[in-house]
Amino acid sequence: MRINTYYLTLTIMILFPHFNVQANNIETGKKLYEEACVACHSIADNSNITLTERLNEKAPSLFYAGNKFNALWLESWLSSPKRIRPGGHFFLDKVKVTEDGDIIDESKLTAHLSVKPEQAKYLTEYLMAQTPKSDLIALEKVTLGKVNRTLGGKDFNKFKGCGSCHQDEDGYGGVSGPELYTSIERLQPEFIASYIRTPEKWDPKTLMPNRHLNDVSIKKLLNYLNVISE
Amino acid sequence: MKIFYTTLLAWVLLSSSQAMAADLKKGDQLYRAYCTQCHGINGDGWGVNTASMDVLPKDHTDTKEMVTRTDDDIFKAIKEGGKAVSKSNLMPNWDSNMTDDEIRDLVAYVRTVCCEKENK
Repeated sequence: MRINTYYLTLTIMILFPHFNVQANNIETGKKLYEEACVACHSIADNSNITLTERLNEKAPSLFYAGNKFNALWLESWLSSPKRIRPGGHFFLDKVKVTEDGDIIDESKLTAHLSVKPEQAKYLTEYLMAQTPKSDLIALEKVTLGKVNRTLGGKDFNKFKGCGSCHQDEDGYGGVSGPELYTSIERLQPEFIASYIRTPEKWDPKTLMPNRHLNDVSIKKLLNYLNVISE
Repeated sequence: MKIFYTTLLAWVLLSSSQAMAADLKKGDQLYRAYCTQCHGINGDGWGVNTASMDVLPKDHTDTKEMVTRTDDDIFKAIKEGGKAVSKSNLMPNWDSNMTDDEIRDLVAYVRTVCCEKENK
């Protein structure tokens, strides 16, 4: 029986070498993740997270990383990371009260560590294998299109209020949420659509409101994100 | 019998004040999580997000203005958004982020930000 299993494994390795290499890469990525990422990120199921735990998180959950990120972007970003959230993961402990209003104290923001390109490849393979919310992704059918930039901006800022927390251009917009002028590059469009539709299904203690938008409104926002990403 | 009623009254007062304290603590946390980004750490309407905003968030420390709002008005504004109380659409509906009980805790906390001075 042992010999049979040995030969079966050997046959699989010969017939599907790619499968075996990928499995090894994911395993290597997992080890790297455990060494470098767990100090700040969690990959655990966040379904029962409390608000206190959510506010104490040092970095975003990676529980559903494979449903969220574009793999090419992730791999490239991990070896040369740039800030995505002007106020950090949770802005509150970075706030400085001034006479002109509250501002983000940039000295309190920490830089994301960078890894070697080879390590980024393994980490990406591991993270992209985390897909517990594929059922939510399957509900979205997205075809990115275009929208008039001015009208799209008005919709984004004035009618939907997204600009209160998110930047739609470098330096313009809210700072408590992640920048969105790079969102199409960073994220899977179906993830963006689903997160706008029901943010609480991704992150039960999300700081983003569910504005109960219909398909047309979500499509309009995605088209605007597409236009500003170009 | 008198001792019984005195003890009962003391117990009721103590438990209600404890419940009140717990609610405010929760309300404080909810305020920090969801409100301060726009309404400011001190509730003065100058949160970190206001620099690019077209409409400034409500100053919760403005006692004169805030006493004109009922608890129900504040509850509705938080749950259904500014539009539901004929105010700015930039104040979103938080109905998917907080339960009704949590929103009530938050309303109680907003009252301490706006109007505690009045009660002292």
